[in-house]
Parts: sequence; C-alpha cells; structure tokens
Amino acid sequence: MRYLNLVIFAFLSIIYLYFSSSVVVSTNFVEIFFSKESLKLFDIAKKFGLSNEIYIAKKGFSEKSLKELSKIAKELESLKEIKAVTLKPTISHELKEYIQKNYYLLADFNDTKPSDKEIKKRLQKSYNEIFSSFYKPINTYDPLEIFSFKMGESSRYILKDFGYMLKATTSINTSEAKEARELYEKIKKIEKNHKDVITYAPFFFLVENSSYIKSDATKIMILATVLLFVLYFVILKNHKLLFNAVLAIGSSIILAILVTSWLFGSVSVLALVFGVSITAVSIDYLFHYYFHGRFGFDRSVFFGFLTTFGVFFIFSFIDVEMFRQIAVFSLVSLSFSYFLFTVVFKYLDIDFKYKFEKISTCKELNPYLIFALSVILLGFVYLNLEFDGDLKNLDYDNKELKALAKKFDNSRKESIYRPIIIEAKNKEDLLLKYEKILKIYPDMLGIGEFLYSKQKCERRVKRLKEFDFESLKKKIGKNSLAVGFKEGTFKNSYLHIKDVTCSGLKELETMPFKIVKEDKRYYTLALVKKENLKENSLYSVIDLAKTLKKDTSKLKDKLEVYMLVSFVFILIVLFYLSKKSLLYPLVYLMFPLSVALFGITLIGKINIMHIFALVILLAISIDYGIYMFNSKEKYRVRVAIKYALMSTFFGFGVLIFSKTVAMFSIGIVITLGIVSIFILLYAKMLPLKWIGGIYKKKYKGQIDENL
Amino acid sequence: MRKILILLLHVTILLGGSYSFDEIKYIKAVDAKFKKSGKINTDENKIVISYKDKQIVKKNDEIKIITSDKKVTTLEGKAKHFTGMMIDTMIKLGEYKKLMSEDGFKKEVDKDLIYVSFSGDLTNLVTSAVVKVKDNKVSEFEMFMPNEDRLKIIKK
Repeated sequence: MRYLNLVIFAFLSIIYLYFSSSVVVSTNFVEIFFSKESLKLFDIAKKFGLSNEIYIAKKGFSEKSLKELSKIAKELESLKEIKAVTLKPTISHELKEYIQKNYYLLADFNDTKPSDKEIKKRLQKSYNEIFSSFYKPINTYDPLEIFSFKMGESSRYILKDFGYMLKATTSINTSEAKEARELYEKIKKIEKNHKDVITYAPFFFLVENSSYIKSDATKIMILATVLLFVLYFVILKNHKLLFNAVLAIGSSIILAILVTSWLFGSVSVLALVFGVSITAVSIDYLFHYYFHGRFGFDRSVFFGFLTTFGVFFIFSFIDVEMFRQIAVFSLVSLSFSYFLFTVVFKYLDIDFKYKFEKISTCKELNPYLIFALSVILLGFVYLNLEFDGDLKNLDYDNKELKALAKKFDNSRKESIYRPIIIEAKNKEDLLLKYEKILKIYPDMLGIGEFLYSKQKCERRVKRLKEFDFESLKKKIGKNSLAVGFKEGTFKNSYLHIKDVTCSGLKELETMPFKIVKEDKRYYTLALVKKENLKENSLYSVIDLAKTLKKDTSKLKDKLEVYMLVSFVFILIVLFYLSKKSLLYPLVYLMFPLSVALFGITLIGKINIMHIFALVILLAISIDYGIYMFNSKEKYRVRVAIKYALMSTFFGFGVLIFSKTVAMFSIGIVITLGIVSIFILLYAKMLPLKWIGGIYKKKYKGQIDENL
Repeated sequence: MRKILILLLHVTILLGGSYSFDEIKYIKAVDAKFKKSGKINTDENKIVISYKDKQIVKKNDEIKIITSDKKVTTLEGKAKHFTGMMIDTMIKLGEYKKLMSEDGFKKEVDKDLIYVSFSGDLTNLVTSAVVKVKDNKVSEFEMFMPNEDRLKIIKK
C-alpha cells in the first residue's frame, strides 16, 4: 500500500501511452477565441486562399536580381507546402481567351455617342502617339476606346524601394503552430542561402511570437521549479511529500487529459495549460491534511473541494468550447487529486515532520470592514475598469516583424482592400447581390468582373444592340483617312458586335475570384477599398482583428454571466456552512478578487487573460475561506494555507516576472490575490488592532482563542 | 597603370554595356517607316535609351521619359507596362549572352540568324524576332508585332 500512489501513476501512464496516438493537443489558437459563426466565415474565407500568402523580395531591380528571385521561386515550388508561386499577376490562357471572346460584354461600355469632332480628336491623339511614344500599338479594334477592361497590366510584384518580389501561396493551415513552424523554418533557410533577400508571411507572427513566449515561459518555469524545490526540500524538508505530491498531481493531469480528449476529440493547448494550473491548486488539500497531521476525510477540505467542483460544473455548461474543456479538465483532475490526497495518501506513511513555532497572537480582520473595503474597491473598479478585447495587446510586441509587415503591406496593391463575403441560396441570386453591392462600391473587385447575372447580361446585350456601331465605323473610316491613317486600318473595329449573346459567360477554374458552395449555400469573396467600407447586411466583412475583438467581447460577457452564477452558487454553499457568519468565509473570496480587479484598474484595462486568472483565483480562495471558517485549529490552517499560497505563487504567480503580457496578466492577478489572502491571514496592522476586539465579540466561539 | 585600365575595362564589360544604333520602325496603320538613331546604356540597375529628342530611363521599376526641353513624364499603367516589356526585350535581344541564356525565349539558330519566338504576356506585344549574329555578337535584330508593326535595331 506504501506504493499505491506510484502504482496508480504507473498504471495511468501506461494507459496514456497506449492511447497517446489518439490524444490530440490542438494548437489552433484561432478556434479558441472565435465564435462558431466567425469560424464558419473564416473557413469559407480560407477556401478563397486568404491569409495563406508568403512574400519574398530580392534587393535590386536588375536582371540579376530577377534571375535569383526566379531561382528562389523554383526552390519554393519544390516544397510540398507550397501551392503556387508567381512573380507577377498572371492570367491563364483559358481566361485570356474567355475575356477576348466576351470582351464586349465584360468591358465597361461608354455608350455616349461621340461627335465627328470628338472622333477626329481621338484618332489624331492615336496618330500623334506613333511619333511621341517609344512604342505603343494602335488599337484597331476599338480605336475610340469606348470599351475598357480593368485587368490587363501585369507588371512584376515589387517591394517599394527594395527590389523585385514574389508571391507564394501555401496549402497548410497557417493557424496550426507545428505546420506553420515547419514551413517558417524552410522559408528562413531559403532566405539564409540567398544574399539580400527578405521574407514575410502573416503567419510568421504566430511562429516568432510563440517561440519568444516559449523561451520566456521556459525561464519562468525554471524559476518556478527552483522555488518549488526550495519550498519542499529546504523549508519543509520532506522529500517523500514532494515525490508523492508530484505523482498525485501527475496522475490527476493524465486522467484529465484522457477524459477531456475522449469527450472533445482533442485538447486545446490553452485548456491544458489552465487545467494543469488549476490542478496544481489542489495542493492545498494536501497541505491542509499535512499540517493537521493526518490524511483522510475532513469536512473543511470536502466542502472546499465541493465548492470548487460546483464552480467548474457550472462552467462546464458554457457555450465556449475551450472553457468547457477547462471546466471538464478541472472537474476530473480536482476530483482525482482530492481522492488521492484523501484516500490514498493515508497509506503512504508520510512523516509529518513540520514543527510549529511558538504561536504568536494574531488579530483577525473584521469581516465587515474587509467586506466594506472590498465593496469600495469594486465600486472603483465598476466605475473605472474598461475591457481590452484586442488580443494583439496580449502578444509579444514583435517590433521587427511589425516593421517588416508594414513594409510589405505598403507595396501590396491588395492592402488597400478589405475582403467581404457575399452569400446567397443560388448562383444567380449571388451575382444579383454582387451587382447590388457594386452599385455601392463601383471599384469593387470580384467575380462580377467575369460573370454577370442573367438580368445584367441581357441588359448589356440590349444596350449593345441599340448602339449604332455601323454608323460609328463609317465615321471612324472617314476621319482616320483625314488624320493620316492608311485606308482600311480600322475595318475590323467593333466586328461581330451585334452577334454577342450571354451564352458564352461561364465560371472558369482559373478566374481569380470563385464561387464556393458550402451547406447548400453559395459564397463569393470580393475586395472593397478599406476607406469606403461600411457594415451592411448584404455582406460580411472579413476583418480578423475586428471579429476577434467582437468575439472576445462576447466571450467576456458570457464569462461574466457564468462567474455571477458561480458566485451565487458559492454564496449558497457558504450560507449553508456558515449561516449568519457568512461574511467571514465570504471575504476570503471577495477581498482577493476586489484587490486583483483594483490592481488591474490601476495598471490599465482588463483583458481575457485576467478573467481566466480570476477564475483560478476564485477556485483558490473558496477553499481558504471554508478552511479558515470551519477549522478550530486555525494556526494549522494558516500554515497550510501559507504553504499552499507559496506553492501557488511559485507555480504560476511567478508569471508576474514574464515580459509577455498574456502571462504577466495571469501572474499579476494570482500575485495580488495571494498577497490579499496573506493580509487576511496575518493581519497585524496596528491601525486595525481595535478590529480584533469587535470581531471577537461578534464571532465568539468561532475564533480560536489561542491565536 | 595598364593593368588598372584593363581591369576597369573588364569591370565595365561585366557590369553593363552600351551601343549606338539605328532604329527603323514600321507602323502598319500608317504604312510608313520611321528611322532614327539612338544609344543604349545599361548597368546593374538602370537602362537609358537616348534619342536626339528624348531619353527613356528605366530605373528601380520606374520608367521616365525626359524630353530635350527637360520635361519629365513618369509612365503609369498600360504605357509603363508596354514600354517596360519592350525595353527588357530589346536588351535581351541586343546582347548575345543574354539572348542565349534567356529560358523564356524559344530560339532556332540558322547560320548567322537566330529566330526567336516568345510566350506568355509578351506575345500581346511582340510575337517573334529575328536576330542577326556575327562572331557571337548581335549586329541587328527585328521584332514583329501582332498588328504587323515591326521594329528593327541595327547596331552601329
């Protein structure tokens, strides 16, 4: 039985290894924060190839630079992750033929009848260009240029003030960290092998930032490990306790991973991180038993566990998968660690080596005062705290890459546009909707440049038939001779224009814009100039930052509701336990939360990571309130809580030393929470000395008079 | 000193080149030939074609036309696109090494003549060319346009 804990750990490890191939840890950060609707929209946008572009630029505009870039293009093409590489916008032969065939339908048509004078003026301009320009071919098919088509130029991609550039697209899911890192490394290898080459892709942020965060986290983890070892080996001097605590926490985490993975298909890496952190909080059960000198059922620990369990049970109903995952993970791991510390540890023969020092008197703070102080702090928070929904602010500030992104963005013609998604029940309705939007944004780019609705096409055919091209041709013939052109030069102008029909318009695979079918609905993507774009029910704007902000704000609202429900639940449990003395355990919950929120308000705005950390703080402080209220040996509880708090601080309060905002946010909440609980435990502040007296009168019989 | 001069000469050859030429342009729409003389100067990042009345400068993906009265026009859109393609093609056809190393051109050699056919976007502007070569040096070349216009460059 002495090795039961080890046996359980070994058994779970074997099960984990057996099922490890089916345990998927998802690093898709996008899925974590986006709502289902936004995810669907981005899934559709992905089908149009958005956000999968990579740019490589070579310094200089010489032939040599161009050749080297072509060499890089070939190297890129050999990578399995690369779908296409282009050095300039290209139109397929098939599309070119299609445009030529349907030119009179697709080109803009200026049907204002020109006067004789106007015709002569335009022909004279063409004639003069023969002598003035280096070489410009004369348009003999449409000499008056009454038709014009937007596409046509295809000059090379260039990076302003730098050199030629190529554009590649990847087939990988760039929001998956592993795939993105592999491709990033391959691209960086190419960059290293060529002189004066710079590379950029939007997914570089994910790779570089996560790498920086990883190194930051490693430093923090080393610090945390050292501090934890100091706690266990130097202060507590109990190796066996440490060894078994690590095994128990490890077993609980393994079981939680297996259950969460089985229920959800995969475990989000963030759910894993927070789940593990919450599991580590269960160490307070261990310390409570340890400093009371016995393992086994204890009413305080049981209610502490039950309340925390209840909170996560409530959170397991939330409509956000990551939070459901955290909740389920925590429910499993906390339950199992509670079982291990309560049932299994009593068979492990752990020595209770700790010697309590001479107990000093310590005045407890008046719960009324603490409650009032908490309310004041919360009032200040309510009036001043703002929510920061911009997740970018949580990330590492990668200045170098930001500058590079700006440089590339300024050179991309597309950067002035914002993509929108148009949706309809059939293709005809989709094109009609597109044409309606085109009236709002006449310079919009999209499928409508190559495809018309039946209505629009028929209107165009009617306009062409109504225009007197025969008479115009005669006038061109007569005036061209007068200007100096050879007879018959324009005999092929506007040829067969009266025979144009709509039958030739069709979708081509090589069109730069496509129509995609998804769940019996049809979608197309169009580009609208950012400066003009407004919200409209006719389309959905694809704006990652804005959508993320909106979704994060919704997530915050949901969390607020669930936190409120949890708070009510905690109140009920605490009322059941303490009846009229409710305020005593309650302040252990309210004071840390209000101090943490007050601290956040003073520093700046509250972000989603602060809210995550507040949930953890909630889980920690409930237990302490119950232990302190229920226990008759408060000096033991104090020591237990002190070590549990030190353990928690060393575990993830040290995140306060992180330079990454996301981690710092967690660290600051936990640290402020821990400090405020310490204040509650060891308040000897002179100005508050009188409180002890009042408090003793009020809670006579409940306070350990030894203290 | 002699060695330095030889070295400088080699550097000039490696970095770029220049030649004077006679240009004969046939425009079908007016059924007439236009003749003028000019000079091409090239280096790593700049191409300058000088005529009596104007200069065409292609540098850093920018094309400027500078007239004799110093009026500068920066080409945009289609004009820039067409002119840029024409200049690049002329440079490649005018230098034997460049012509032979250009993968994008299909070449057929017949004695001192090289028949070049183009592909892709370029065919909208130039369909084919004939290059006359002597001792591995281009002496003249002629470009044929889809609208039956022609442009002949004879090196002087």
